[in-house]
Amino acid sequence: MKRTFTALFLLSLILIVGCEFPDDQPVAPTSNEDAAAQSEDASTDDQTPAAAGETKKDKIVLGNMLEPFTPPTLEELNAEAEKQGGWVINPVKDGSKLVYQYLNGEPAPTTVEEALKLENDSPENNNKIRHTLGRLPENEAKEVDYEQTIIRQSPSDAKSVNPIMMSSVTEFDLANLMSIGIMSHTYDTMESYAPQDTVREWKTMPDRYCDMFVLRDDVTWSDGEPFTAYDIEFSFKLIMTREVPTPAMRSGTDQIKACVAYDKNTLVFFHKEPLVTNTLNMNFAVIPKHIYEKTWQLDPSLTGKEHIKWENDPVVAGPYKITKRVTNQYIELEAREDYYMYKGKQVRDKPYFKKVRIDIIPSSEIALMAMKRGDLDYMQIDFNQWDTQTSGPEFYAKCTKVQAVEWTSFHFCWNLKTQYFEDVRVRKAMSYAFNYKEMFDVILFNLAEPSCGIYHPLNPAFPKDAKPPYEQDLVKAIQLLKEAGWEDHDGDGLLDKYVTAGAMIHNNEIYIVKGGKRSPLSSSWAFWGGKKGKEIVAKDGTRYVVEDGATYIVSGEEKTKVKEGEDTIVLNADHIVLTNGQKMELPKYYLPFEFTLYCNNSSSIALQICELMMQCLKSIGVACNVRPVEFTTLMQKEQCHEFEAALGGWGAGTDPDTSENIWKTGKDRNYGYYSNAEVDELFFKGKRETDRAKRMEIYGRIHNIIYDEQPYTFLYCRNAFYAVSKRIRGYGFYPRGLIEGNIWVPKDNEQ
Amino acid sequence: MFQYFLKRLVLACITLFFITFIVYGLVRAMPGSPVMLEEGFDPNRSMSEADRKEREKYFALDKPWYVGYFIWAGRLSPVALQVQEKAPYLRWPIIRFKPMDLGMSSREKTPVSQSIWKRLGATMQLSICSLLITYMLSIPIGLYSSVHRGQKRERILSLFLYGLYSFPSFVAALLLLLVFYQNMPWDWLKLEPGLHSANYESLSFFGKTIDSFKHMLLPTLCYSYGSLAYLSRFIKSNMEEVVRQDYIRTARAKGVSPRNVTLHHAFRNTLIPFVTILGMSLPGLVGGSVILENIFRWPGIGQLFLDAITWRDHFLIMGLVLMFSTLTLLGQLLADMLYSVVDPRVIVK
Repeated sequence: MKRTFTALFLLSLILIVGCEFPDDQPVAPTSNEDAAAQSEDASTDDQTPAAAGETKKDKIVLGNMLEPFTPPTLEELNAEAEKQGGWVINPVKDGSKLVYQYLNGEPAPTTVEEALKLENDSPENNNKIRHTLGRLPENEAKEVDYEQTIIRQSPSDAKSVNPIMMSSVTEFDLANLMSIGIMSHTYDTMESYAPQDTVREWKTMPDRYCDMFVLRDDVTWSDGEPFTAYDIEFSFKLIMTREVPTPAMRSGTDQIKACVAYDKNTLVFFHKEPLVTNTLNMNFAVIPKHIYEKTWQLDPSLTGKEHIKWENDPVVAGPYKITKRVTNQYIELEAREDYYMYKGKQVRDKPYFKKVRIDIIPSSEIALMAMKRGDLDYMQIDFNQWDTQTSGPEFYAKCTKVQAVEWTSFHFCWNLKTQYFEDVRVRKAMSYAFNYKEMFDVILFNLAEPSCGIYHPLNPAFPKDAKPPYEQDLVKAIQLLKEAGWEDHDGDGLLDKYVTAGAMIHNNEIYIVKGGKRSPLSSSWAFWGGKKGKEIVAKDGTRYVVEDGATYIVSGEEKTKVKEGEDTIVLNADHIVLTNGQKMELPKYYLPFEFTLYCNNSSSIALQICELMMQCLKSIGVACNVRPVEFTTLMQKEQCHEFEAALGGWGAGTDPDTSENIWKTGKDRNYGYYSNAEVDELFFKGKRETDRAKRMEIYGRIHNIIYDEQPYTFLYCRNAFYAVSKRIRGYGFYPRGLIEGNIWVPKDNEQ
Repeated sequence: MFQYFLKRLVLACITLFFITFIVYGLVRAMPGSPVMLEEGFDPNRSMSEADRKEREKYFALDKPWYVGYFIWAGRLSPVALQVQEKAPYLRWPIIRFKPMDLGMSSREKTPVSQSIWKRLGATMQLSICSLLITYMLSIPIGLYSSVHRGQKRERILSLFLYGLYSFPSFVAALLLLLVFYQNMPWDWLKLEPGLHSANYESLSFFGKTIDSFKHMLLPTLCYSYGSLAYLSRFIKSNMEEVVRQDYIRTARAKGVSPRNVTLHHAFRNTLIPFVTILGMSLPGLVGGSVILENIFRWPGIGQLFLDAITWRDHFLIMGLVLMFSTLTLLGQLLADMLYSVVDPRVIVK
């Protein structure tokens, strides 16, 4: 017995101990001790010739993801600009003036006293509350109480307060309070401009290959050091360093070829391509060079011991700085005097609050309690809270509520590489089958508007000749399905269609696709060891060949390699060629119209909408199985295209080009395999068209094409709903939600 | 004795291996990956292929799950076997000591050990308080009801305890907050959710104590009442079984006072199953509660665990599972040791 135990003990020890994989050590050391150990290793390695090939432990080079680039001198740049007809001067605008025009452009619909008495139970009252209380002060010095503290809510704590590491809503909120940038956008048309607060001059080379910024002298970091072009150059390079884990920040920034500081005020961006959208790429987070240049190499993760000090007391250049942070409880910020004062003179607008506190309240029920108690100044609420929990004197004693249009829309996404939804007529039939009226009236409490396509009707890219939203028309739906070949042939009450199976290549193996499901060729028992295919031949003659562990598409003379890990689905397959050279015909069969519709299980609204769709489709003989799954599972299904249909939603970006990632062939967020050569071409053109009106026309055309093809059934747009304290003013809204930076509290507030 | 515990320890090690191995397999089988969630769902921001590969390599997602497990265990292990690459003539692996590494949490962006450590304090603060209260109250309640069994006052007490036991704690939490927080007219009596008030730092020592007490009152109450009801019923039923034994009758017959019979003869004999429960409550001390922590803004382990699962934070899930399973096994070991203390009949062979 004793021996057995000893043996078992040793076995377990060996299992645990003997499995170190030296090659799989983490890239980023987790603490500075590790880093120190690593650099020590590196120094000993240098002395050993045998270790010369080990590049892993070499010093990390700043900006090692960038291609080598020798920037021209400033004189050369100016000469080049001269040659092209001189720099194009771009707008440098006063951000606060723009907001003032946006929020106070129209006269207030009623008086403040009246608006505070109103209950938000109609669109008129909402309008009155929003446009009366959501205004900026006419005379700041007289009206604003600068000594106030505002308390905001956030569902989760910031994981890092370093702006280049931000990824969650709380982190973006914090970055907005603590950072300044060299690019901003207007709230109405979402056009980019350089803010006067930081930039003195912004000009572009006529061929659009580079942008030059002249920064102001009077911007300082919170430790008194000046904010310079070198900080921006350093931040750019740090973001583009492989070992620094900021993948989210890199998208867009990686379109910049180089960012060069010529002196402390002059900064030039060199672009890879002369695109209109380059203005969006230049807006990345900036961190102080003088702090991070000493430490980033010791701890490239930027969150280890070396940087903990800066996590609690970051050096910032924006209007507020962190004064206190209690993990998972609250973050307290204070207005910086050296942000708006420079050498005894006011150079920028004074922040409206002395302090900002962000309370971390994970439960929205508890946050609403705090709101009613008067411990919170504003919070976002959902449909249900708006409709049932924010009415009556208990709520209106200290709060009011307001809603505004937001460009967030929801849809059913159809997977076009399935035998159900490849046909545009079927997708249209789906859109005709859905009962929109019931969705708006019953599920959404009449608080939402119809979604009319990929752009919101208020988006400048929304075409003038856009078609109206779909309405339920079951006759048309049945007609369209019949045209597409879907009829009830066997009388079981379910539509079916006589089809030939498709084929697909997944991980270099050939599968047969029936409906939306796939089964391996080798599943047949008749062939011991299974069948293996090497080629799919489509009806149009295109061949899809598996060769040397890779997939190639052969069309005539052309041979293109498919990206590794990507599935190739051929729905119009004619036959499969097996490894033994034999030709295998694809089976023909009656395919019943029965598919699975996925939705997020944490949203009762999503589930209700899917169930409504199920009911609607049942009446026309289509079986739709609703499967609510966890959000992450849903995302996994969508990203791997392993779904037939799913309910999803998108928020809009500031530029219409941001939807390229959703609609262009083969892009990351194109879950439903939508592909249209004209749309791809138009997105390409849209990035390069400098005339704004013409550019918007291009996106309008994209909108119309996609709407005609219905790869989504567009459902509804969700508004922004907020509960706000009666003591605050200035809450303006724009298509991406609440404008938080201009909220203020009036003097002598009785509330 | 020593040999017995050594044997138990070896068994515990093997159990731990299997638990972590299976859990790692389950974690890897969940749809979605930490890399996918790190990337986020912003349509305009997506990771480059190279970045994604790099991150997948870090989480060993490019390898089968069982290989991934050994990579994780290898990082954790304090010793490592290393084949000397630089000296080809020396083929024997050498054993090298290294710091134990639980990996980086993909969600918290800190080392896993640190993420757990940060939350442990808040959870223990609540669970230890509630454990003490539960045990200190349940013993007298249990004894009281066993002494007065069948009487009206015991019936009323039992009814009340059953009521408590069946009342969901999250409903109680919301109701209590509604009364003591949202609708409390007097500020000094207000019991708000959270660890401390915002002005905690500026308070005096006395003020801080009061403030902590006020913040802990409701969560501790919600934490304890369920187990209080359960434990006192448990003691009562055990007592009822013991008082029917012959030796109790003997004790009574020989003239021992009723108080002495209850406390020394009967109660001591109910301690054995009680110790089992005590041992089992050890992992509960650090487990926290997802819903109550969420409601009371209490930054504890329960929320961390839920977050770790939702965000597919593989290393954090594994770190927490390792902690829970180690403590469960330790608890059992501890209970075994306590048996020999409370029950002289237990002799370990």
